[in-house]
Amino acid sequence: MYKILFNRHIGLNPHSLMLPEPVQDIAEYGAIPTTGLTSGHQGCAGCGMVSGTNQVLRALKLTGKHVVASIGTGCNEVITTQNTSCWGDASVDHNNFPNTGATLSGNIAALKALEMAGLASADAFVNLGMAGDGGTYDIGLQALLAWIARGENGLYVCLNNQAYMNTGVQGSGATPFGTNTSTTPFGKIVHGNQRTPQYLPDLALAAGARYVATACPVHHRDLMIKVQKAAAIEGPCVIEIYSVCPEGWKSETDVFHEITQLALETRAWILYEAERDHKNNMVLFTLNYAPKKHRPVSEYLQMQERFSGMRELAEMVEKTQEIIEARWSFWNPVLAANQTHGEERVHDA
Amino acid sequence: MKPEERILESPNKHKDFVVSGSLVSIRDRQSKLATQAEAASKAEGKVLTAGEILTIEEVAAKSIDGLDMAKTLSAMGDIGPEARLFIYRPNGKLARHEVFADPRVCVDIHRGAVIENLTEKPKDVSGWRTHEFFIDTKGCLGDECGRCAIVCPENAIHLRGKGKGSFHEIDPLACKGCYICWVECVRTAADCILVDGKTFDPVMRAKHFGE
Amino acid sequence: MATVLSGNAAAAWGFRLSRVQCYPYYPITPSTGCSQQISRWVNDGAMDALTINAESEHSAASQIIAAGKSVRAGTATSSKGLLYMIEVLENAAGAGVPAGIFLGNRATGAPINIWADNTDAYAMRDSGAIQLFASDAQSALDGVIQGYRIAEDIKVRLPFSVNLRGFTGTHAYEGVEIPDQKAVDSLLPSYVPLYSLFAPGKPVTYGAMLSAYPYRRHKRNQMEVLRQATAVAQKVGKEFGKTFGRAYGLFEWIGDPKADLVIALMGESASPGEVVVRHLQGREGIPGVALLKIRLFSPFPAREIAEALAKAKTKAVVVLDEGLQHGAVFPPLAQRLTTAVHLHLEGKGPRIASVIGGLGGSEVRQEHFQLMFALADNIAAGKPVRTEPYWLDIDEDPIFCESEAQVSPKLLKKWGEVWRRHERKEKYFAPIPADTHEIRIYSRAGQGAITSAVGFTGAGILSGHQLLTVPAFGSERRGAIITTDTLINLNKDKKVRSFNRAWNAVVLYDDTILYSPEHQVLDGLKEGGLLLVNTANLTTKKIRQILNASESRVRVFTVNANEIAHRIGLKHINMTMLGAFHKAYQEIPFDVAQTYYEKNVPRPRDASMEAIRQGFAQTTDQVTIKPKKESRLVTTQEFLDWRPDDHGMESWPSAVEEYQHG
Repeated sequence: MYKILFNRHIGLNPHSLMLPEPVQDIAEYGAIPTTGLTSGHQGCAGCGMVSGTNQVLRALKLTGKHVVASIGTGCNEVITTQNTSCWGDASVDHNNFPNTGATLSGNIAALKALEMAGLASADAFVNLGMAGDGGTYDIGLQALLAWIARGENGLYVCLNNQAYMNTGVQGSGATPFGTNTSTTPFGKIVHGNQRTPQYLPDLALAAGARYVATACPVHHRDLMIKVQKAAAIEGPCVIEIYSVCPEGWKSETDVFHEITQLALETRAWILYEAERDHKNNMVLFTLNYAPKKHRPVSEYLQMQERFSGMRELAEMVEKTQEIIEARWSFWNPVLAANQTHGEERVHDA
Repeated sequence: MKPEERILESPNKHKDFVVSGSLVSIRDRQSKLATQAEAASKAEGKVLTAGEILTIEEVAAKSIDGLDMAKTLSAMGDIGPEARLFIYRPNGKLARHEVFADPRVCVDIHRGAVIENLTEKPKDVSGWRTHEFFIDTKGCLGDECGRCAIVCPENAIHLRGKGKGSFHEIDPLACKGCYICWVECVRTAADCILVDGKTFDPVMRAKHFGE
Repeated sequence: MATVLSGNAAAAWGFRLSRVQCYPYYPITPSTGCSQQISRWVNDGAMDALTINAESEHSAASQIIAAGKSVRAGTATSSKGLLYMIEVLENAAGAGVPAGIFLGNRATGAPINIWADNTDAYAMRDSGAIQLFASDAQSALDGVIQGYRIAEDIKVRLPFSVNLRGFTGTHAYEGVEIPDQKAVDSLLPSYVPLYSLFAPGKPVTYGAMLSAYPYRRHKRNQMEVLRQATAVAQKVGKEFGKTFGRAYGLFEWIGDPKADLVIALMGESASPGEVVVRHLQGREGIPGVALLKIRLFSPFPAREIAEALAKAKTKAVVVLDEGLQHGAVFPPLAQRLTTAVHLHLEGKGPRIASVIGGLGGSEVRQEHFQLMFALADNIAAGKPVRTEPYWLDIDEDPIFCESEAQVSPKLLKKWGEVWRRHERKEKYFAPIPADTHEIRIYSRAGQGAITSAVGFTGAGILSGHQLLTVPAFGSERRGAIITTDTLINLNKDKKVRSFNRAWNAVVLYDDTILYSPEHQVLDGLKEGGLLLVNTANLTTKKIRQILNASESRVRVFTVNANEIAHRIGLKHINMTMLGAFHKAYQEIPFDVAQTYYEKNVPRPRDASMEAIRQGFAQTTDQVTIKPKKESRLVTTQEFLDWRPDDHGMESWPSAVEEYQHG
């Protein structure tokens, strides 16, 4: 339990309660480091997840530190290391599916031990953990929460494409309500995924993470600010990235931008961040994006064939809308404050 | 009634976090930050040196400080083509060396199936795409933009040049033809990406922009 | 001089002397003591390492695999914990990470059983790690150091495990030589990774996905690299011997170099076998006998073992497996050895029988070795042999059938012919004269009996004997009656690590134990043996009456330890009982023992020494008058005060004191 405070301002936030200096906001594109992953990976055309990974690596370049990535099994790992490695100048440790948190922990301990032995200095490196939603919400949850609870210094990125895409689109703990996946098919009696997804930021905050955020690669300024913050803040930080998956979502590759934008405008995905101040037992929430107009979720469902059955059923669409409204109501205090002042802040990507 | 305001404790040098009720405003810092000793001088960023494994040819081709070359080469000669020299040189100084026979059968695979990232060549994935994408260098905003490059999932778009006259280029070996850059460019930038030589793809434009 | 250490603490010393830098752990019986000891050292600053409180064995294994790519890493586990690790452990071998695991071997169930066997070690045999089997605390300590040296050899670079049988190995306290740190450092130089994640000059990817062509080529390499470990282990074992005077090989041949009959096995269970081999050697009508104690299980030294058997012209080998391989013809060790003999000796090798025993904490006793040698004798004589394993200690399926009415009828149908043609050969079963004194303490959990027994062990070692203390763990609860057994070897030339369970002395920490229906304290006590009872109100005569024992059956001593401890201001009666025991049992000279106790008793030292002296002075075998009745009160309070940290699991004195005194 903790006190909840809201940042009155909605939008990009390069400042942190825990950092002396703001992180770099890349408005000038020329200043963006050009290397993320190298090209030639085996991911689908139009993969939103790799776009996210690229941006994470580019943002970490801005910190000037060497990236040691502990990555969990999943699409991201399989497509980037198939008989080769697309990780360029980042070091990569892929261990297994369920243990990304533990692998991250082991590498953090190794770095500490190297520092104790005078062989390396900890601030020359950033320890990055990276896994998909299955490796985070389901099989990797124990290792991840334990890593957070131990309070080690690192950054964990969950590339959330809302199902097990690497194994043939099976439902995961992050799969939205009503989704048609290969293990939660839209059947005659049971219509798709019946559970509502969990939310990683909630889990991570409860476990004691210092900084949590959600991001999407379409809003890259926001994403890169968040990655830099997470790398700078001492302690465990968690970022969840909305990863469009044309294969699993049964959408066209070209609608990457539109899907993301619709997710934000229907509020099916919310861009926000939270800093946890353990000393004062409070969490400061910042909403980074509030759409000018709330569009109905049916528009979002319309773009993706994974919702093809359920979007015809009024009560399922209604329930999806209810889930969204309930979650959005959390932001009422900050939304109300911004309305009073008549300044609706929407940041531009 | 206006709730009482108080300032949250923070190391932020530029901003105050002012709490009023459950809302926090971030303002330019007015309050004085309690003087703290400046953070200890930045560590020199020490990084580890890995061990190296050399073949007899590699050893013969260079001289290694602190190593008895004649003795080493003769020991390697005794083993034959499988001979390897392990050396560890932290800060350039020889700290450890050992001649041994490579235990592997298939020497194209590194020990522990490790991959050395920088020696890998990117795979040619040009066969994936069904349309050809080019950036019209005249229309490209160069380093003022770069939206296409940052959203590209393939890291296929690279900036060429600097400042005025700089432009982006699509690596034809890396592009999978997903349209993400094209949509990004039309939507938010210069609309300078050509698909199959045309800037105007009526089907796609109608779909995305109702044109 | 040797220090008294449990097997777990000895393994912990192995990690400490190897300068392990990262030690994640998750507790599981019976290996926990190792992790506890290391955590203690690290938290006290005596060991430069990082411990990680992992939330599962899976994570602990993941952490040693990650950290092991950059620094020296290790952990300890057992049983299901190891099985939980196995999913990720294969990655250690696949990625060539030389991390170390100490295993307190334990059954894997179901049904749940927390006691010893090798099923867990067998379960990890396909994970690609080097597997060493230790047979006592000393070889566990030495094994961990050698393990790192072998695993980190430039030709090898693979993970390793050091196995020690649960409880009888991990919880047995015995004298251990702790090697000198400098000497260890010269044998085991610091670890230099081949590919480092923290070397930005050469960024690398571990655990890339390989398709069939490179995958099979990598696996071919991995097998070849593991094979290198045999020669390296042999070399390192020899080097270790040169430095520390304790050489190790791939296996140990104990007994007649030209033995016709051999029992092959691994680990701590060989201890009673060594006694039997010494006993049988040179007896009339018995051919040469030997034990083949295999130390390196993976990679299995097939050629070396086959050559040793050929050189000895061995006729029959009985292989004892303390674990199973369901569905296979033979359990793992027997299967490996059979294949080795078949392939390397091409039909000219010894005949082989497989025996399964020691499961789930079952003791492998001296009489079992007598049985197995008798079986080997039959096989060597050309009698038929079972084509599936024999079992130890199953009444319906004995090795020799003495009464057809008692064996399982369906087995009689199947193996009747084999049973009928085998002869039990009584010459193998001549009683074995005991060179040992054995003592059993009955106490209640938390009374400190283990601490006193471990102290006694140290005193005994100082007086020139070899001692071993094995507490019975696994089922103790507060207030439960537990046993602690100590063996004193009177034969100064030969090491003995196996109990005959014939007690020379029995100690009761509490007179109420006399009434416990579960415990018959005279059971196993030798005729005329000693019985020391802590009592406030029972006379020696009354005790004999309760036990219905004559004066010649048992010699009873009493002491009012509660009263003495209370008067001195000690919470525990164990020091008083230690002094009292010296009065009753005088094989270990009390004056020598006192010089040990003066330096080593738990704090407050003066009070503890006073308790020992008064216990010694006030113990009597005469009928005494009842003193005041306060014992129950003190005892009850003691139970209430009991906390797990009172429980002396580690070396005695406690680890903290040990390093403070250098």
